[in-house]
Amino acid sequence: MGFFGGIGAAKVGAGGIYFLANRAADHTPEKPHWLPALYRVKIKSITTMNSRKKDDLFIVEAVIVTSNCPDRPAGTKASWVVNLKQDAALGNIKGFLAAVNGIDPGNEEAVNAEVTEAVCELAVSKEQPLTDEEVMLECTMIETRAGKPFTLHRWSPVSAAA
Amino acid sequence: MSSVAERLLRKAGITPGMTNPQSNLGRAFRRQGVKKTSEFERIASLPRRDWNVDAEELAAHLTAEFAKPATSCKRDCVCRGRGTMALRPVQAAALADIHDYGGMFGPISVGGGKTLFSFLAPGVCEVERAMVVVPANLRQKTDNDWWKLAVHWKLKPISIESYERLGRASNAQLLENRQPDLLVFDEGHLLKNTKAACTRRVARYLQARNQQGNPCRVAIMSGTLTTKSIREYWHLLRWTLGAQLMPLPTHWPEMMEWADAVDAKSQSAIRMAPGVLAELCNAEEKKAIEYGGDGELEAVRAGFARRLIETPGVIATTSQQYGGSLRITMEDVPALDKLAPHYARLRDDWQTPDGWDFSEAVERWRHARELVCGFYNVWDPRPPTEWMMKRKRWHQFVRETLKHTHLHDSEFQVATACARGTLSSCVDVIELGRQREADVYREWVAIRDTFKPNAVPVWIDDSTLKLAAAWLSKNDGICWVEHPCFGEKLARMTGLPYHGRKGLDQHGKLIDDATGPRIASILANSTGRNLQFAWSKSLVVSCPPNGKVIEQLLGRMHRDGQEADEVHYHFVIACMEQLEGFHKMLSEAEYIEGSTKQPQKLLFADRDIPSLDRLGSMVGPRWGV
Repeated sequence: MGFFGGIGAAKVGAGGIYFLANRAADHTPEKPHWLPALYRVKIKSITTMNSRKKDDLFIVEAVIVTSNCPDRPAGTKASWVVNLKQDAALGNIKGFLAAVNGIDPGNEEAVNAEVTEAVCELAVSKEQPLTDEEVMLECTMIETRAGKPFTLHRWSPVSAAA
Repeated sequence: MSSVAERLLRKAGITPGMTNPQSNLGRAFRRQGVKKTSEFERIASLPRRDWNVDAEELAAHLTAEFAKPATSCKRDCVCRGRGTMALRPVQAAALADIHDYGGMFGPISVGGGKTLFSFLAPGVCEVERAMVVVPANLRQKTDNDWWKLAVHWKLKPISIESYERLGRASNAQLLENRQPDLLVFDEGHLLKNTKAACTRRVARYLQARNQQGNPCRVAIMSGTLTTKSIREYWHLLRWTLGAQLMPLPTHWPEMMEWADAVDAKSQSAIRMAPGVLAELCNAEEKKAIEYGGDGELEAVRAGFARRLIETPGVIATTSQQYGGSLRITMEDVPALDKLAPHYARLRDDWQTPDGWDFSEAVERWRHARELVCGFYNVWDPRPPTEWMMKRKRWHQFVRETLKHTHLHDSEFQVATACARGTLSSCVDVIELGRQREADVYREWVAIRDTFKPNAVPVWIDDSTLKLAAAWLSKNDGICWVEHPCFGEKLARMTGLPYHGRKGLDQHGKLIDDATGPRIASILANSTGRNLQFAWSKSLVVSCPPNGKVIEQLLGRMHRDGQEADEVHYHFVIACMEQLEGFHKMLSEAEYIEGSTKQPQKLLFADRDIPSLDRLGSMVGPRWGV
């Protein structure tokens, strides 16, 4: 087999485009100033995979329907990746699945009753029942305890935005 | 189930039952447990009762009504010389239920008095056309019993039929022609197979009567109604109690969820969590479910069993009808060590001693038991080479398929899937140095019927025969055999009678009327026969590993009327498969007792049988080492 013998099976990479917060007018790399970005996105796929570092990942791929972030205009394909080794991972996934199913993530009782293990498995199943569902996303930039920038994703139902 | 899950399932176009139980999604659904539905609520709200309450008074009342005046009788009369008989509480309760509810579902212990119930039911229900259905080998005995009991009871005439006759093509309209108003099925576990002709005909007849608005009363009884699954008696409950009274969901998919939570072996090997079934449990059982582990299954079964047996129309015996001592021991046959190479071939190559291939574990167990008896079956004449080759290829395909799929459990299921096109049997086959693709199933089917196997036993050892002969010379008991050829050879060796088909020996004598040591076929004699008056000792040379069979077999002597202090069953267990088989029967007995509260003689008995853990210390090829 030649150097590119496996190319037939290879998928074209999306280049790992992620959601961003908005840069304020006075934002500089040395003195960052971020503002929340608000999106309306349409789900294209929800999957799980094992990374090269053997981490379990939960991946949402979506198309931006509306955006107030010039760096991520409408029509852009973007992903949200959650590493399940993070403490907050399952809670974040739960919040996302609640929102995309029209449930307020802040309503703990409703979330716990409705977002079950079966719902999570259904979401990532080959049937992909959440394809083309729309959900609101607010991205804000925060600093982690280690001092590194981190994009916080807050999901909410489209019905709440209306 | 959450409404979100339901919505997503609708969007996906699937149901939980369609998911692969081994997948993450399937496992997630199973962990959720049995769902609460309107059917569960119907079942949970069914009245509960203990049929034992007032049953003695009822028995006295019905005895006064239906028993004839006392007469002078001999000891061999069915009354044992007392001149009169009385109903037992369980019989009276069963008669009351068939009268009050139009149906009776009776997991009644072996020896519980089912025969007399069958004969009295027409009088209690005031029907003119009643049919009692029994296994073919008991038809004559049942007829004899009717005449014997008619001396002491006011019995209406009945017709007696057999399951086998109902299943014959020539009798397809028998029920429609006779129009029985009451059907009593003794050994009702023989209706378990919903695809059998007999079962389908009964179902058709009952449905037609219901549609006419003139339902037929149905009583179904057996000491062994189930061994593994509530699926075995789901339709029987529907026939006897109807959709409103039956304590199982009327919808099959929902019943399957219950079965997956309660059964001996879950369909997919991944048990469904109890879910709403926990609501049928008492406080202690609920704690056990919360705690999880082995106690959870026991608790769920206990809760379900209670719901089942407390349902009006269900008469279940929950204590041994006869409490005499029962002992079970085993004996090895060390002389069989010389058959070591044959056992090795059986297990490593999946071949019988003469090189025949087989594809299913059940066949391996069968051939292992044959070897213990000192023979194996060959086909005479031998089949053509091409036939053998295509059969071998087919069996290899079946073995590989069964190893890698959860959807099929047997050769029959694999063949059906190939015939329907839901499973491809196209494989690469290397012949004469060339590779080609073959449709293994179609090639086998095309040639299969061109040769009819004629199994003939080939004897290679007589150690077990000698052991059995020695036992019979020292014990006034019955030597039970699985294989007719073994029984016949032993009979020739010892000069003793062998009771085969219909319980008859070579002189036409029924085993029920005999005394003295003799040999009996398990298949022909393990059900329905009252052997307790003449014997209390048994040697079991080889027994099919089936919980129902063993319960029936033990019940031949361990039953009311047994006068010996102890009933003793001595098993020949001389290979790994027989020991595993015995423990399989134990586990089936645990399931039956756990899920129906029907006490099992195998669990009641004092057993001196090695545990499976000890198998590792049993040396020699017969034990897998």
